[in-house]
Amino acid sequence: MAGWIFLGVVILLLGFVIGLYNRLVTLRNRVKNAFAQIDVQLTRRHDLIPNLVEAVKGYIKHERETLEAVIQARNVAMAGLKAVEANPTDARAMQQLGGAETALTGALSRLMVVAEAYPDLKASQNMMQLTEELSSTENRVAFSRQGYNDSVMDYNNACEMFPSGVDVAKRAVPKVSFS
Amino acid sequence: MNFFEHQQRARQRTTLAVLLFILATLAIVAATNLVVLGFVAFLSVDPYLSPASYGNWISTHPRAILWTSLITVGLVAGASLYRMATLASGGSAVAQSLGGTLIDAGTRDPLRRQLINVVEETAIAAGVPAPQVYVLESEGGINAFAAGFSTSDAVIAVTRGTLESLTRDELQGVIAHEFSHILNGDMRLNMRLIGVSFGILVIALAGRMILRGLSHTRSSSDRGGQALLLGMAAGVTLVAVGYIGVLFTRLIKAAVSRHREFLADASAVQFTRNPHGIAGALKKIAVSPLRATLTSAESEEIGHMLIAERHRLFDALFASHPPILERIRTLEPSFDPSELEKIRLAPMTSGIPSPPAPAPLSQAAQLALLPLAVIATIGNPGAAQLTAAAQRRSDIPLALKEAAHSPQDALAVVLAVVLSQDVPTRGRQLAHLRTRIKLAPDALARLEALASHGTRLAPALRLPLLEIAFPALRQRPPEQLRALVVLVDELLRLDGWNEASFTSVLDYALGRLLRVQLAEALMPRAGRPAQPVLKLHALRSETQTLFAVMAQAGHDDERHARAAFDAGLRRLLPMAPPDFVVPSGWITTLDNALTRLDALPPAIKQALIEALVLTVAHDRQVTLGEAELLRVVCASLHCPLPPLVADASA
Repeated sequence: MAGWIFLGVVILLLGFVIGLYNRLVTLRNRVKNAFAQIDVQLTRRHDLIPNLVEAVKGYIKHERETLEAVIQARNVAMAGLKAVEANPTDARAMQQLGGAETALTGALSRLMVVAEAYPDLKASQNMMQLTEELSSTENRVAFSRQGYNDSVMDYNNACEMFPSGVDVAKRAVPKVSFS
Repeated sequence: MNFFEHQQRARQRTTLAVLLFILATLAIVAATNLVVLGFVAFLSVDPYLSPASYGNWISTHPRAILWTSLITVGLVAGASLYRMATLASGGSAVAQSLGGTLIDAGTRDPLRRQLINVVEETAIAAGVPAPQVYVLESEGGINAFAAGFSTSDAVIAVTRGTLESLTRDELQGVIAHEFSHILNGDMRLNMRLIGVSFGILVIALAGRMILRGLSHTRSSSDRGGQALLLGMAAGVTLVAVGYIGVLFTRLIKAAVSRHREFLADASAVQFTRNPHGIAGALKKIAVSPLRATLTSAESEEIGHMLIAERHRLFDALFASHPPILERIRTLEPSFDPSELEKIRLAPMTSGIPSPPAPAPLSQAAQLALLPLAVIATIGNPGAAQLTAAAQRRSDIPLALKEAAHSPQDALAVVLAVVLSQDVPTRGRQLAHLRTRIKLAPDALARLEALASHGTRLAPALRLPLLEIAFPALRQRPPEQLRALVVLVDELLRLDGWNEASFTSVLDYALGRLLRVQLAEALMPRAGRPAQPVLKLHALRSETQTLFAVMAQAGHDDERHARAAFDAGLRRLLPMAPPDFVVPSGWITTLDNALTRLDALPPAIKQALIEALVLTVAHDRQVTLGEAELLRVVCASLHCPLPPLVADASA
């Protein structure tokens, strides 16, 4: 009799552990998927920049270095994105990408300030379209980042809370936030 | 509460709706039975049939009651099922039935592009697939709705007014609000509500239809008169019984959808992390002259799906939306209603494009008059045009603008615009109108009220107003539109519009634009020349007419007119420029010339318009007459030109 009870407890425990494991895997995959969403939007942003540079080049005469800075920042960010794609759970690569994207955002906003000084450029159809696409992309990045952060938080919570926290905490995907 | 709890709530609300629906059906069945009993009492020759003996009658005729009830229930259920079946194709069916146009995801139009982008962004934030997007082009109010059964067949529809008057952030708030309806299961519930309410409304609808049908038939014979009376009685009874359904429908909608709106507003903030977007949109709705109106007939049925409703006579119990001020206060606790006054005064624009510092008009006019710049704007309005258009729109008196949006008043608006500023002429025109069309006294009063606004309207605003009225005009029957074109021509001729003088260029432009656009709305393919003409030389005299009229329109003395004429034609036909001859009877000649010039291929049309712009710009001044004539020429040649910034001082 006691043997049966013992067996039952073992089976229950086993089922519980399997369930726990599966839940963690689901959550981790959700993190990966959420990152894939950001990845799509970041690529979109990187693809827009050559068009933007092309559109601005004809008008801007003096502030060449602002333009160069944007191109430079884009190249760094693209390299960072590639590194993270290769290893999505690497916290350091993610941090570097975050830094590179911040730099790119800064360079872009400086370019936009410069563009303000050229009314012809601002009024051109092409530029208005690009500005709209760019601000849309910024929003998309921001929104998918919210999704990413939420899924990372869910995963971290699941890893750290009792009981799974006891042994799998080490495997937690570190929460990364970029801005 | 999380997503699942909200879905759960939505289901509970559905249960409530179903309970109310059953209650409504029972009430209708009871009412129908009462009517049947009353009918029996009315027909009964037995004078002793007292109310007490109804019980007797019922117990002896159980079948009558049974059948009445069964037929009523069958009717209600059948109608509900029928309506649900017509909605089975999903949200796009609803959007199309309201006159929505599907927006292509690759559109280049700035306002539509922004809408598509905002929808896609919010889809990311909400984590659902991006729905199809419709625009209700003929609706000027600010409103939006989401429809569909699931996230994959969902559609979002917004009105034209929403696109034009909200900023990007506010639009994002509105779209996020609609996404909440998609995500939290309200949309599905709302679709069911359409079906259910149609079922209990069907009796009232049938009654109204009978009454409307009878009001059109006239019968002289006695038998016919009796039948008419009987029909009337039936119609009135149906409407009376059906009114129970109307009351219940409003009750159901109020009970079910009212506080889903608060939830959706809250979700909008959650998705966008910006409470000021949706709050700003609600404030604009609160002060917008058109409010949240939809003009479509079926909007009654979908009122509960809209982002905001216009408050009608029925009281708060029946409102499907909470009061708008309360919603704003929930989002912005520090909100002060006096703030609305400021918003009311500020022009509402979408901020596309961000309005540049207002340049002096004459400079803008010169800028717009480089031939290449004008060509570039064809079919492609730029910043200056859009700001100018927004500016003009806000200059038009509110009453005229509202009337121009309504299909009932649009005809009157056109007539009001055409009426002369000069009092005696206007008297003659009105007299002529009375002989031509039979006007009910109130219609005449309405027309005169509009005309008094119309005469105060600056001439530069007449074409823009006409363009606003155009979508509403298209909803009128074709024969009315044909009659309108004839009538407008006659009225303009009364206003000293004649072939000899060039002072009436503005009137000509007005008449011609109306004719061209209405003709195309009536028969899209008609009016286009069948045979293309490949060489400009074949249309030499037509070209000459066009340039001569344009030169005359912009210059008072002949010497300047000749110089302007030469400036344009030397560019177009450098080898053998024609001589400057003012055509006699220029109106007819120009009409014919424009029709024939339309047969030219696009490349030659472009050269033609470039040269024409040189003629216009020769004296570095654009008069209103020139600007409008140029626009009408472009419209006649099917190269839509946005309004040029005319030099008003000239």
